[in-house]
Amino acid sequence: MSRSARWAFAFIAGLLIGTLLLYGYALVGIHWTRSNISLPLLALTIWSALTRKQSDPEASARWTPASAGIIGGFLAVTLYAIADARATCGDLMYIWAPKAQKFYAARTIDTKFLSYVFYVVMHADYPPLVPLIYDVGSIFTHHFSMWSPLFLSPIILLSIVGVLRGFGGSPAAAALLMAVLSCGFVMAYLPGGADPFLLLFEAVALIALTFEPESAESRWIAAAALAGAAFSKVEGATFAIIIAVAFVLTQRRIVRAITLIVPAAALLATWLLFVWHNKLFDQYARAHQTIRWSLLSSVANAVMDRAAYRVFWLPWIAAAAPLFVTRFQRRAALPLLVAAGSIAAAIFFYLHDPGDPAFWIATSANRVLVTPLMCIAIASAATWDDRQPDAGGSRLSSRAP
Amino acid sequence: MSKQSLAAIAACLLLLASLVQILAARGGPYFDRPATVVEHVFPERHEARDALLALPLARRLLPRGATVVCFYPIKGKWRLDVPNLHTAVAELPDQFIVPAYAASEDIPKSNLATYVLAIDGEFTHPGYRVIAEFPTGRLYQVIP
Repeated sequence: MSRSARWAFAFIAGLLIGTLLLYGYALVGIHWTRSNISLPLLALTIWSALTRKQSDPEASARWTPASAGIIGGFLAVTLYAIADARATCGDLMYIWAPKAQKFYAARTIDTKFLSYVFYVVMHADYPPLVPLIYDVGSIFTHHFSMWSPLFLSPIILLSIVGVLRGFGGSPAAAALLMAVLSCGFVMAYLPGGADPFLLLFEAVALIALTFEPESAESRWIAAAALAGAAFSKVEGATFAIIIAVAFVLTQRRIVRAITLIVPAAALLATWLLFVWHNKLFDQYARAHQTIRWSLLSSVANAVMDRAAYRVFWLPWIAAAAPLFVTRFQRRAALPLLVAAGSIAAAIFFYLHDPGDPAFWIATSANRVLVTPLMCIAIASAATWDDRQPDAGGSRLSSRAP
Repeated sequence: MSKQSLAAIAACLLLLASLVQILAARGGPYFDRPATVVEHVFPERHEARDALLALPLARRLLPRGATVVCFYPIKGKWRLDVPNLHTAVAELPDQFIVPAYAASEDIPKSNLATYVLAIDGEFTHPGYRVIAEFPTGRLYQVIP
């Protein structure tokens, strides 16, 4: 594996481990301290240092100047957008920072705070990964800064690119994915919110299953990533189901598809039990709302309008551009099916709004649509002709060419 | 270079141009240090911007556990202000933030919130007095 892919996987594993550590302590009633967080993390770090394999120096060197320049350019623009406070997600102030601050003040998941009727808009039962990740930082710094969550976004972007390269995506495909996602992050105001984490986990799962569907190692990575997605946002659980269905349709392996979503289902089940035990049901209790098919046309039009991102659907055209100039490859079917499923799921949820869904669509559709946008960019990456000199080749395992 | 790579590079350059255009449209100044995390999110002032400036200043004056409301008053009166309610929860984790209605003239004096942070405007409830003024807000305390 290349060094960039290794860093990416280390970052993603760190996010999941930190979250699970804080969550586990909260479930069993142990308050978070620097020592009880740092000791397990230190032990894991030592263990991973002792067991780590050497990175593949050839894989590390396979960036082309054009691709590296494009990735650097988009990284610079994204950093500027964040540092100049041009892309901040409103949910940072309204949902995630309040939760992170209150959990940190209580040194646990503060159920009393979550159950206050005044704070109903914060959605008490929303999966807790994001505030828990922010609290890992607060525990070590004794402080929460509104700025630090924003600067996780560029790291997340680079991690997604590193994962694509780790699974053999070509440098040009990685550059395109970086470009599409940078635009999505900035145009849809994602930094600071939950969507960057959701997209990271979704990307890892989709890339693993697209590029190495037969590898057991890939499926384990995908299953862990889907658990992360389901623990990041409500949409993450939907994504896990969509990807499992798409996996069945493309690979015809039902048992493997079911095993992909078992960790996500198990983790979410523990959270729902916690929510039920503490009487915090809110979003998940709305599953009984009736669907209104009469709104289909207006909802589809409104979603289509938001998908333009005020630049005439350019991100979609860019993400799909390589698909139009090459022979279709079978492995692109999975991300394309997941893209279609994600769009259908978004419309399906909007049809359940008991009132006028226009406001809901206006405030959320551009964020939700970054998932299918990313899927199309991954489908493009999957069609890259491996015989070309600028194609990738550094597979996750050393078995592959 | 393959056709796919050429298509990808062309697409990336177009995206970069559109991204720069979108960021420019969010308004200047473009290279000053931003005062808050929402400084240039929209060309217009963000609804949480002034609270994000006033709340850290008020925090130093508020006792732990105090009941606080934070809102943008209209004609000197309270109003429902969910964005500033939530922003106050984020910035004042050691205090108990309640909705602006807790500073209404309909509320008995014994039940009024102890502190009011009025963003960008005067709060005229006779049961409160000003204890501090900030560039983007005033801090009031209930008169015992």
